Amino acid sequence: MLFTDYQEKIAKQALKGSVFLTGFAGSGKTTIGKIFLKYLLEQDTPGNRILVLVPQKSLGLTYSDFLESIEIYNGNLPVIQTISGISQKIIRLFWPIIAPQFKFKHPKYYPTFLNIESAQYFMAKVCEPFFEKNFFSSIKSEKPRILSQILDNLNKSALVGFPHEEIAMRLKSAWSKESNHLIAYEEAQECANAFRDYCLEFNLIDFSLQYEISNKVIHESFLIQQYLFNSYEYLVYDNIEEDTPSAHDLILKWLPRLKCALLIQDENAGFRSFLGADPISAARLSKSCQEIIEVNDSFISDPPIQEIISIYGKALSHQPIGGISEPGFKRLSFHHHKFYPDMIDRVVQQIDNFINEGIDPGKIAILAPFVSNALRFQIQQRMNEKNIKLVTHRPSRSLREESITHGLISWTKLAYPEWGLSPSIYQFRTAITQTIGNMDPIRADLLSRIVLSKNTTFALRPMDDVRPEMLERITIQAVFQYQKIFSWLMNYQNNKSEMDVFLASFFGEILSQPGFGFHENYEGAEITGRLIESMQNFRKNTYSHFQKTGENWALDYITMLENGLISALYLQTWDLPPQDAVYLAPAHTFLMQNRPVEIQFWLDIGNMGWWQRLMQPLTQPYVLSRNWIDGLKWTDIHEYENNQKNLEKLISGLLLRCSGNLILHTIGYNENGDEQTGPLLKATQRILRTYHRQIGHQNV
Amino acid sequence: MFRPRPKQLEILKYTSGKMGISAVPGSGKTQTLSYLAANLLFEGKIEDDQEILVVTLVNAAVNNFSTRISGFMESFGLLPGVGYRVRTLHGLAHDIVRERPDLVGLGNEFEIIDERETNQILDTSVESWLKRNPNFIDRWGKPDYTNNLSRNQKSDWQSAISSVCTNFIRTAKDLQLSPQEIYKRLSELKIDDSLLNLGADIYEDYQRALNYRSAVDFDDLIRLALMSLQIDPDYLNRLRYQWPYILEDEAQDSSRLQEVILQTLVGENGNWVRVGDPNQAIFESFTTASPEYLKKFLAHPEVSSKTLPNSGRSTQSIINLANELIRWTNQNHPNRALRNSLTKPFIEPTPKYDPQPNPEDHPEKIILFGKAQSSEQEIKSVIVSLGKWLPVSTDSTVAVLVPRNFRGGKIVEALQKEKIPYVEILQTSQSTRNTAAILASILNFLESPNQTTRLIKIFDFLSRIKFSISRQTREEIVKLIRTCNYLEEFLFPVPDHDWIQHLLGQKKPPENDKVQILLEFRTQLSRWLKAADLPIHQIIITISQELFEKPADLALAHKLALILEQYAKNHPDWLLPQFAEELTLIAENRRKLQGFSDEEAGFNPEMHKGKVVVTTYHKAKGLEWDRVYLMSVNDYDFPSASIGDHFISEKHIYKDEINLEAEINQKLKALAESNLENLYLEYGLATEQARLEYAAERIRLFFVGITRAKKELIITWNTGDTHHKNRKNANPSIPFLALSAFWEKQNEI
Repeated sequence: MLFTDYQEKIAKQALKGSVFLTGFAGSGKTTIGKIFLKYLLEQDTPGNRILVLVPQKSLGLTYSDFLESIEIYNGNLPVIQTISGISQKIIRLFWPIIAPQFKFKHPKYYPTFLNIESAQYFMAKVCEPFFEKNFFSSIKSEKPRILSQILDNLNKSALVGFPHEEIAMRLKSAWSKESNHLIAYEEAQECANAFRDYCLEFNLIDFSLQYEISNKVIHESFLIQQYLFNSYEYLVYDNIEEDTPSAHDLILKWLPRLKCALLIQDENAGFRSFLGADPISAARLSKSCQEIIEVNDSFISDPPIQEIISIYGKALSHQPIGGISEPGFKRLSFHHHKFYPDMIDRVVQQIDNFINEGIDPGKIAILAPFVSNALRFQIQQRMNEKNIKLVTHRPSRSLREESITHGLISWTKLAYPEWGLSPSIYQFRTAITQTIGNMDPIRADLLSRIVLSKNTTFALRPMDDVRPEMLERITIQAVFQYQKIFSWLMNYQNNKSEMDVFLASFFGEILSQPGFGFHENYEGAEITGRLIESMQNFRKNTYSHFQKTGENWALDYITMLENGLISALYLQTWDLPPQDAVYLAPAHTFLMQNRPVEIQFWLDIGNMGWWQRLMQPLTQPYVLSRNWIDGLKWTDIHEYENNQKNLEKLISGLLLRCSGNLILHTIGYNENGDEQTGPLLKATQRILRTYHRQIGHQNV
Repeated sequence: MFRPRPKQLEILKYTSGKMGISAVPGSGKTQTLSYLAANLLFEGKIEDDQEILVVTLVNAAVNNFSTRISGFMESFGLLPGVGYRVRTLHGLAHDIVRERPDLVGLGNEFEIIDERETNQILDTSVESWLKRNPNFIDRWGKPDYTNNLSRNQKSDWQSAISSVCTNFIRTAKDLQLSPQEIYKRLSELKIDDSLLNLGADIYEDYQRALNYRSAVDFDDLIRLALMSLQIDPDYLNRLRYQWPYILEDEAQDSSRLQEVILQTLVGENGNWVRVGDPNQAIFESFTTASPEYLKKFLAHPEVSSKTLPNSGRSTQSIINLANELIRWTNQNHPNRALRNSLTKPFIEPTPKYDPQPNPEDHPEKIILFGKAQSSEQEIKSVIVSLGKWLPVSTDSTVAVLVPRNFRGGKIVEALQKEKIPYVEILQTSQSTRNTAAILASILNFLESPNQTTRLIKIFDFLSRIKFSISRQTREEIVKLIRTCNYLEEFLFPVPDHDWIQHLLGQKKPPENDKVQILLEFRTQLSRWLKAADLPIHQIIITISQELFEKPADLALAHKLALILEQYAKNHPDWLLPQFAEELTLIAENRRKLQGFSDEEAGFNPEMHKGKVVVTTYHKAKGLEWDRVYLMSVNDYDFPSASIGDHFISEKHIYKDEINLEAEINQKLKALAESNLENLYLEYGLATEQARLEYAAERIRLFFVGITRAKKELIITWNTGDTHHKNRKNANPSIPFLALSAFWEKQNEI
């Protein structure tokens, strides 16, 4: 890896104390962070004294990759962590001190840390009596969404740092609209309080409680503070603008105690505001650093791209655009299609052309406000036809939406015939198609109709008695693979374990082996891993509950999964996705990936999703943020300005990660058949019109 | 190129303010309004980020307007598709709510529930309410209908009460009353009324069920859109800026809420053009739609009021007949309360040298068939007439208009029997059903991909819409497919088991074009099969995006996809077979689709020459044919609120001749206004008022029917359905008799 002299100079500067490094994306800030790490390690600093703090695990991947590549090992590797990881560690370590302070009913027992789905499970249990009392009749929302919003509010209170009892008051004070809505806020508050009481009663720690506890003890307990502050002496804190105010509070307190620190801020970012990210709060840290250094020369985007950023800024804010240079305009291309499939065809064709011209597929990104299964599927199919590798990243999808999950659940049901949950022929066919390598749905259908029985307890039959002609139709290879699965499941009947353990073994010993559908199937393995992790967490987190009730956790889990009760489950993978494939992702996800590219495709730029924030009736990230002025009403002016500002930030964030061309696609009827001409399209039209006027075209 | 006539030119001079236009049928109002929109854009009346908003009644009109405006813009040298937005009221309400769902307690992902789910919710709720309140039937039912109800009687009550509640809920939403508000008022005014109690209870249940689904119905959408505008002045201001001009078509069918929403968006000094024909207001029953809104607007001193009286559509004789209906209603209708049902202006033919002259007059081609016929005989005689006329008129258009879908179904059966080619637009449109049928057949195949018959069915569809091959080629390919014993060897070949290779290796291999089609068919199907484990809405979107090209088909497929997605949410256990079954019900016309794509998108009668179009009077609005049959013009379908008339809403199970929908709505309106006097009015008065309103609307419906005809018009009536117990024979309707007398007199002269 090559570094510039200036980058090395800044890294050396940080070794002397604390540096607040700020600049736009692509200006080489993270690289300076890496040089800083390298210098520390070269000075024989023990790795375990160095903390690399990031707001989200994916943002730490670039550091772990770097550390692997430099091969300097001083006993321990530097620790790459999020604030959440640190706070959990502290609570585990100091539980005997912490428990009595927080009214836990059983302070002598260790707590259970809830993940999102188990928190949602318990929240559902806690809220059930409230739903029966007709709570939330003044809003229109499904139960799982209501539950996740109550949890979200709790989390916000902890991340921003205000008592959770104040959630409703804050939301109500900013609400000036329909008065019935205020009742819903009150009801959500009641549910949140009840959930907190339940957690304290059963030693459960959800994300919000975890934050609340660690915030309090780190600030108030000298012992814990000493422990934490003495654990690490060197800090790299990257993407501080994507972290929360309470994380910033901690670092403010910690900074004077560190031997040296490098704090890195992306300017004009802070994209995760719906998760509590607060760039205004992050900026406070600059005052506590010994030096503020600004870097703004981009290593990725060149002047023509920067010109596009500035023109979009003007177009969005209705300022005169002035002129557009020829080199700038040449980087931009615009394609209109009447229908969605035409757009997909064209995008894939353009990508194929780029690759044929020698552009690395890993340097191409396809970005859209949302990536639906249908879009991913259609692009994937067309890419396959052209032998182009595609990788997708969609963190905001629930396990239930993955068809692989249903295939795996079908196998699980078959492995436990005592549950009485046999899959249908159709479900089984899907499982077979996914599981046996190169299996097509027709042969899978034939096989399913032969082997699936409704009359026996164990619903599968061997293929022993099947006519040779049929064997040939299904293919000998597929039958052979099926027999392997059958024997494995038969053997399993004699030695059963928990559902997650079953799935892990089944995956390891069968599904991932050569000849099976999950062999070298990156995505399939990822989803299986997520499912197993989710089951495991659920089992561990609900262990004591099910021990008391005597019910079967696995059945509850499957019901919850199939009924969408844990539809808000957003588990993520932290492995770096392949870098040599075309990348398809929602625009906001792309920003969190440290993956600059040469070519960006923006799909369906008329879609309102480019502009509109996620709106939910029981929560409001801006009102619950630290920057909201108490008593101020949230109005349409706030909504509009906020969306405008975010779109401008999004555009610049994306383009700062683009070194070559931006290709815009617009459509007449979007995926849902709607005609939308959102602000991104309107701004683009203005730019086009200005350019054409400038070069003297008529009729525009 | 559009050449405006003088009266149209007057309208095109508009630049700002409020203008109302009363237009007669066939006067070119859509064309004029579209031209006006394009002209305002051409003259640079709006900014880059503003739009002219055109609001119309049905989806078919949305497409029609969009096409015309973009055509004009192109002819002016402007970019089409920019600077205007055409929406139905529902579409507009959806836009308003979708941009700020948080204002009305919704998240971004709210759903719009369809008729299937609403019926299911209502039925369940009504069933349990009737069980809990057995006295209700005692109070309102005929004595022999109250004790030990048979299964059929129970079902009669169930459907009658569901319909009463549907209307109650719709009216409550229109009056912007929530269930809680109704309860509050009932308790404050100490009212204990069995009808209001019923309505409020069911309404509350219904709203709760909707809330738990994050769903709204179509009436909510409109109510919530208005609420958004009322509670957030900043949002309203932003929308006012965005839409500085509002052009409203079919304003005679404007409802109270539509008027309020548009009025709110326009503001005090805004620009609003309303076009309509008060004589064509035919959507008023149990809605708050009323031509009175347009009439009042036209009469307002600040409104520039114009007329479009010239119509080049019909022959002079047909115009005379329609004008006579207006005159007779105004002056001679025996029921004085109905004399305002139709209003002037009379229809005038187009002036000399007009680009659209009236067709040559043939008075002999107008028949008012006065002979009494049973309902079957009436169908038979129309079919006989068509059988003679159609073969010699292959270059003409013809429609049979019926008052109800059920009757249309009977006509279709008779046409099928006689092998007379036809197109129907009844419960759902033809294209909706075709789209649903194609998708259902594909889902059925995906579910059981080993069945050749299912594969052939898909091929049959695809060969028509995708491959464009001759009938003979199609049949030959189907024959070939039938010879394939193992479909996997066709769709997923492996070495040595490739059916197409096998075909090519035969002594007489099939022609190359057939092989190419088979290969294309294979690629398509294998791709869909691989998509079969996607969530249902995405399967539908994926398939339809590959299958359809026409915007209307795509829009319908999307609508179907969204409907199935809702079903999937509400029934997590559903798999492909259940979804296919739902699509089949839609395809077979047994399930109505409500919503944005409900209307036949861009139906053009000229595309169906030589075929009989069967549709209802209502659906025929906006369309025209060379020859038109108007059926069932008797005193049951077109009553005049005279003694002895029958009314469809006064169910035979009720104790008295009473219209519970009307009674409950009257009470609800009184409750909304806290009008104690009306709240305590005796039952029966609202029924009488409803009879008058219904009779007035039916006169207008008759007028709409007559003015659909360009050259020939045949009007018949029947004595009713003789199979139905308790029903007396129907008589010709009074307006029919009046026009017959007029016509006879004309011919004498």
